[in-house]
Amino acid sequence: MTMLEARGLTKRYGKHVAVKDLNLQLKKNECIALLGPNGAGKTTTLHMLAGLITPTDGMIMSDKKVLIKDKIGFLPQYPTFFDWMYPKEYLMLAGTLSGMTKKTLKERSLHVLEMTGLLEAQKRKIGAFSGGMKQRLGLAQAIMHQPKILLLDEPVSALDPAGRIDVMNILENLKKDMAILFSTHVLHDAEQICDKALIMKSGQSISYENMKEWKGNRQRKRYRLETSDPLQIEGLQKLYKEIDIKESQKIIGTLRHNVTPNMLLQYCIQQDIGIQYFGAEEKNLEEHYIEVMEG
Amino acid sequence: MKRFNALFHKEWIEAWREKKLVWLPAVILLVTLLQPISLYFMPTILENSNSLPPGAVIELPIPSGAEVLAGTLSQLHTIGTAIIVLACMNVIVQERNNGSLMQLFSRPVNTTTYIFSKWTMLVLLHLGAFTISYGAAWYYTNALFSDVSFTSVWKSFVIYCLWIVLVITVTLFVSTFLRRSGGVAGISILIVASIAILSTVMPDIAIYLPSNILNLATEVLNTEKGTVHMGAVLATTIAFIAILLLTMVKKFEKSVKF
Repeated sequence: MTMLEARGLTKRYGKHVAVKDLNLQLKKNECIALLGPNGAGKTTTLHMLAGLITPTDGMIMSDKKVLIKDKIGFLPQYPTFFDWMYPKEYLMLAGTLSGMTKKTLKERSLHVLEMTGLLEAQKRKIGAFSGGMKQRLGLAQAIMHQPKILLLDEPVSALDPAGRIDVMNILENLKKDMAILFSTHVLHDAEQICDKALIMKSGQSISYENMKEWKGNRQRKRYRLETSDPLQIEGLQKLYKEIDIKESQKIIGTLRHNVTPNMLLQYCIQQDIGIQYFGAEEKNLEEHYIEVMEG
Repeated sequence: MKRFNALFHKEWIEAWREKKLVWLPAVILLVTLLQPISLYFMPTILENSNSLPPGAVIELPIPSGAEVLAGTLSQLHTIGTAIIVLACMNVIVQERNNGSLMQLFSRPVNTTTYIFSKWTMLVLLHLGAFTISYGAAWYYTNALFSDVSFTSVWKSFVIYCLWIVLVITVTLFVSTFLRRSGGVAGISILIVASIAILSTVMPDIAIYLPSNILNLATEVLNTEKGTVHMGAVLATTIAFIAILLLTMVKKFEKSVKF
């Protein structure tokens, strides 16, 4: 089931085109990462999908119907609350505005506070929260009303490494019940939990790929070799057909047609090269990203 | 209605936690009470001021209670109006600038609910403060000067309430299209002052307009009856408030889409 579909989404501000002809399909239990440099139009896209700005052109639908706001949970890039409020009060206000009943409010707000690790902070006013805590509360308010679609604008950019991992684990769990679309600069995270990656550049989608697919579809496997001593490249060139990355003690590339990985390993042993790491290497998102950006 | 209640409730908690619920009534009470009390002590104040030559005799006519209350209203008309504008200038602007408004509007909230939750709360807060202050002023006027009848006080109260509502509405109206609270205060005071000044610049037309509210309230205090134009003034004021509210909701609908 298509939870969220955007067709030909365009936003113009006067002459400036922020987003141009963007197509997107978010299915149930799917997670898409929205990538791209600063100013590529990621936030504008998310705002349009969340119904905060009206697109100049194009349409947004959910399951072939008009998208309603009850279904969406949204976390802005810089979540802002009322400083004089307690976290639970904000969650209850947010829940009420999203049409939750009084009975479920209290229980649910405690539950999302626990999920985001804010249970101990609930006696403090939001004004006394750190940036990371605000980001967590932002996530809590976005999932408060159990939306079907979760839109997150850089959910981890304000967090420390431990917090980042926490949030990613939360998102991994949420994937069971929600379709998630989030923008990020941390490619590693996107690779871990997302099924698809949409890369934007100056308002346009330049790559929209299924990451699982591209990983399985690679015809020739690449092999990575790391050694303790500097590599003698001449000998290796006979075995490697194409070398993608070459550093003094590291080499990644595809092997020649009739060369097996064992032969490469054997060669290293014969030459008495100290092997530190040897293994098949999948193409990662970072490489893909840089490739697309330059291309 | 559930959404309105939630936002309305939020406004009151905010006013309480930021102590607006305390300082606003206190300041308005102070401004209102200053008039009867300072008038009462005026002879003593002048005597003690030491700037008079020895032997000077001061003889001030004792004002009637109605005159004192009219003076109170006119005091409120200048200082009080400015206080109301200052108390209201931030309510929308702040939430809009820091982004909390955007976060609220990612939920199914419509602009009418949002604006009316703020408007209703501000109107009730200010009218509450005015009721206490005017009641206290009436009490002191009766105690220190001559009695003023309840009917005339009540009528003048109702008439003047409209002015307060108008000032709040104008300030909120300006808040929906300016993004700086200083600008909101400046433009609101400019609009309110222009309305007030009409009664001296174009008295012929102003007798039908909100500009005449203060004169009307004063007249009611003195004579217990309004002029023939009372209906017209009340009607134009209410119409003006309604138009401002409608335009503000429509305007905000557009501008809230950031």
